Parts: sequence; C-alpha cells; structure tokens
Amino acid sequence: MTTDQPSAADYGLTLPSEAEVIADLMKLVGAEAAILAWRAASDPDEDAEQQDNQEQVLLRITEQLAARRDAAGVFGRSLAIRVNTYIALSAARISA
Amino acid sequence: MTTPSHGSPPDAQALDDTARLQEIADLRLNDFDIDGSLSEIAAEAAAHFGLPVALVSIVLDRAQYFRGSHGLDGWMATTRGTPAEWSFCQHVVRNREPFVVDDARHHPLMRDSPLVRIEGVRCYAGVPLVTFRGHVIGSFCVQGPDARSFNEYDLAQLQRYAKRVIACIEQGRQG
Repeated sequence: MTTDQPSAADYGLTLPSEAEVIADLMKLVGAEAAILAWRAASDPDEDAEQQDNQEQVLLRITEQLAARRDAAGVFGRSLAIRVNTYIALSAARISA
Repeated sequence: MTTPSHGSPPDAQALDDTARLQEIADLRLNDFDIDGSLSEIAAEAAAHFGLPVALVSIVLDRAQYFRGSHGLDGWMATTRGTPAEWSFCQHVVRNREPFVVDDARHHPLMRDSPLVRIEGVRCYAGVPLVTFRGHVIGSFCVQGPDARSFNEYDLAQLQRYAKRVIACIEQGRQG
C-alpha cells in the first residue's frame, strides 16, 4: 500500500540498536553504572525478549530505566520518547 | 530583559550535562500530579497570545518531554515529546536565554526541522525554565502555524508564566 503519510524516515528518525543505547549510556554515567542500570532494566525472561521485536524490547528497557531517579533515568525517559515517536509515526503511516 | 538569541554560541550548555540531568531527576517530575496545573498555565498563555499551542517542555539529553501542554494533537499528544534535535526548546536550554523565531521557514537553525517541514510550525517564542538551584531544565513556550513577531512585552509575559511553572515544579521537590 502506498500513502502520502510521512514515515519515520521522512522525519529522519531511526531506532538505535541495543549496543548503541548501552554505549551512549556508558558515555553518560560511566561503564560500571551503565551496565548495572541496563541489567536491572532488562527483562530476565529471555524467551519473552526473543519474541518481542526491537521496538518492544527497547521500549520496555527504556521505560524501566526511566523509573530510576538519576541521570540514567532521565536518559531512559529520553529514549522512551524517541522510541514512542518512532512507533507513533510508523503506526500513522500504516493506518493512513 | 535578556535579548533573545538567534544561534548557539561556542560555550553553549550541553544537553547531556550530568549535573543538569541530575537536577531534572531530583525534581521527581513524574511522582506528582502536576499535569493539570501546568496545562492550565499553558492554556492561559495560549489564550493570551492567541496561539494554538503552549508547552512546558523539559529538555532531556535526547528528547523534549512535554510535562504540561495546551493544544497538542496527533502523534505529539500521544508521545508527549519529540527528539531533542527537532526542537525549538533545545536552543533555550543551550543558550540559557529566550529563543524567538518569527518565521521558521527562513530560520537557519529551524528550517530543516521536521516540526517545521512536516508539522508546519512557523512561529515560536520560548523562555528558560530555571530551577531554584540555577539549572535550566527546559522552556515555557508558545508556537503557531503562521509567521508572527514577538516583542519584549511578550517575552516578559512568558517569563511570568515560566516563574509560575517553576514554582509548581519545585513544590514536587519540597514535597
């Protein structure tokens, strides 16, 4: 189906990989704190993670991070907004 | 009155400054129900300026977060934010001073933003949200779909709204 509705690509928005997100978090809060925060936010249920797509995995982890009361929490909320924006723009294009 | 900026100086504040981000975390913005109060101030400002949109935008490291708003629709009403690099409000935080755009289609910093190219934002005026500890955490702003100019009286009025917003937000830290 073709549509004139702008896509996330039209907005210049892409989803980061998990590796990119971890690297950015390390730059912000340091390697040790980043790894601890990431492990705490990641779902221990690997089966669930394998079934989810990249958007859902990122969203779940960033929203877990966002619940923290430190710079990593602000980083998490920031990324959650970016992922939600990507999802919203993608959904708008599909439904157009 | 601070002169509004039109660009980013070399000593601009980085959005990912750790002390600034910790200040945002310390304010516990999501622990308290301040949506109603902040959105009331936004609605008042939109009516005062005769513009459709007013925002309490907290500028995080990679996104702006609309903690209070009036007039948002479409996907932004759902996401309650946008990537920081698209935003007008990032320039308020980076420069720690008001940022005014009369016609974004011709503004060198904003003309390529999707908010201008695709969403059709044309005019913008925003002032810093400065906490009691002196950190600029975001912007209180108004925006609209048509070009228009803002004068010093307009910016002074925006500053008054911004002070009310900060008083509301700081109650969360003290509570």
